[in-house]
Amino acid sequence: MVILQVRNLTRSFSRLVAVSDLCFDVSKGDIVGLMGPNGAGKTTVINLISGFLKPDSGTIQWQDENIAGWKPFRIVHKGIARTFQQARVFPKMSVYDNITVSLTAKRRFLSVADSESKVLDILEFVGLDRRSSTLARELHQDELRKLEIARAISSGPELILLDEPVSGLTPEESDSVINIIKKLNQSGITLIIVEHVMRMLMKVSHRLIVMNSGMKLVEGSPEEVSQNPQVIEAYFGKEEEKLAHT
Amino acid sequence: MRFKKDKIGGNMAFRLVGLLLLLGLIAVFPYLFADQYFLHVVIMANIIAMFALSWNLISGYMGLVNFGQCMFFGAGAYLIGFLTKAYNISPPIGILLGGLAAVLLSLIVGIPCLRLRGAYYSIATLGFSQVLFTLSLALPKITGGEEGIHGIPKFIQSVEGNYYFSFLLLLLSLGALTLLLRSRFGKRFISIREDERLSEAAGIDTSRCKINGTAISAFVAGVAGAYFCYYQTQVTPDVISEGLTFSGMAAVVFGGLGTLFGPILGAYVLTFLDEYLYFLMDYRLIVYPLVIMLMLIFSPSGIFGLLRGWIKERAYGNPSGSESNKKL
Repeated sequence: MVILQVRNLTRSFSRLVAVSDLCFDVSKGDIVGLMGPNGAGKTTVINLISGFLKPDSGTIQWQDENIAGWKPFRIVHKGIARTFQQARVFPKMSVYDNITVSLTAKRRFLSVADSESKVLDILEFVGLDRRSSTLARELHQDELRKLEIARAISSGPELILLDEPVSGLTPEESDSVINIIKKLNQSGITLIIVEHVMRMLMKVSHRLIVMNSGMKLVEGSPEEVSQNPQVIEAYFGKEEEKLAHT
Repeated sequence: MRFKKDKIGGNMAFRLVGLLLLLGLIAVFPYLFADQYFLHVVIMANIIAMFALSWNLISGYMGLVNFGQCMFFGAGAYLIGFLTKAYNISPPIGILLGGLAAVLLSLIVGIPCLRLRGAYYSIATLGFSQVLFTLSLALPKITGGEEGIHGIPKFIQSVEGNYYFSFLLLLLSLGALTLLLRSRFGKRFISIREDERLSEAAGIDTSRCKINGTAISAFVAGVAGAYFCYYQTQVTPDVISEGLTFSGMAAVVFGGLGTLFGPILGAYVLTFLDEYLYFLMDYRLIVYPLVIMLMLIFSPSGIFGLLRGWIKERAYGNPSGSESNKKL
């Protein structure tokens, strides 16, 4: 069942067209990888879907409503959460409070006992249960990434947009985050993951969308995409160009 | 009975005993020191402390540096001045109305200002307060012009009575703000200060939150202004001058920005300095900013930050008390 339909999405910054006439669908339970070289427009797509940017044109249909241009908090309340390229947390708040703030923003009348139990469940899910009273600014990079995911989960989303969730992590730390992503998907949450590291996306994605210069280049399964000449060219350049450089 | 350990190293029992001792000291103080002038300075410190608490909520906890907070204090004071002269309203209702007038003003000012961020917000609030200051001079039939409104009957006649009432208002404000900031509602305010964009991503309606926070802050400032008007039996345009805003800001910065007790400590130290350095004549105006500059350089977290660090050091031998520092 298709839950997100992006149609003719366009956004420019001055003369630069960051996203151009982009169309794609996301079905319930999917893990969609959004990949492409630097400057391809991947993060702009995340910002447009999550309401952090308004599109110049196009629609973002989420469960029968066009959410394009909505304020970010309304989009969160509708069931779409996100993380950021540079892990963002409330640094002077404890890990526990970071989650509580998000949990109770949507569910205002949740009892204290229910809220406490849900926060502890979420922290256990991402493996931060022993760090609940630690200030967020004291966390390590991989823990910050997990806290971001935990914060996203706490708003009770159906779709999570993950912007480079393993960026800056060691392979072991990345694997730990990838496991959380897989567990999230098994629990029924749909995911769109932006990443320029192909290895990570190949591991987890059901479907890949490759972008280049703001446009969709290719869409397909990880196997199809990895063998596509256009993708190889976008990532590694044309054969003649490579030869010219050598 | 076991008490739950709290974050700063004390415990509930210690705090409860401290609070009871403080309340006891406040209660017996006028009987121990009958100096009326001293009690007057305490009352003024309590009023400035309430004002500082109100500024601290919006600026220290929400990160919105408001240069026009005096307009909320002035709204409360002028409303009382006008209503008491025109309709002779009862003081308790007057104090409440003073707070509500400030809330109304916060909505009028806040809605356009809250679209702005950083320095633009600060300058816009300063601009609004200057407009009100000019209006207070330009509408003498309502505001009394430069002379202000005089002859407002005292709410409480004795200095001792005012001493207790000012403490009651201060403690009620402090208690309400403490409960607010420890609640999930209050945590949203803090989250805006920490990262407004992230707060939005967490599902918080930051515009509404900022309007609510400004209204609560304005209510406390308005109540302080209304009581100030009754206590001084007059209201003049000085209450909408930037001087008052800077006094509140100085108390907060000196005591500890974003702390609950810091602004009260700051208000006390600076009010007493101001009153008891009169022998220095105009030179005392140098001492005041000098003390604040020294505090900013050597202890940006204010007196309260210094005290808290000292208590933690005594308790743990670790000034910050953070886990990472313990590891190091």
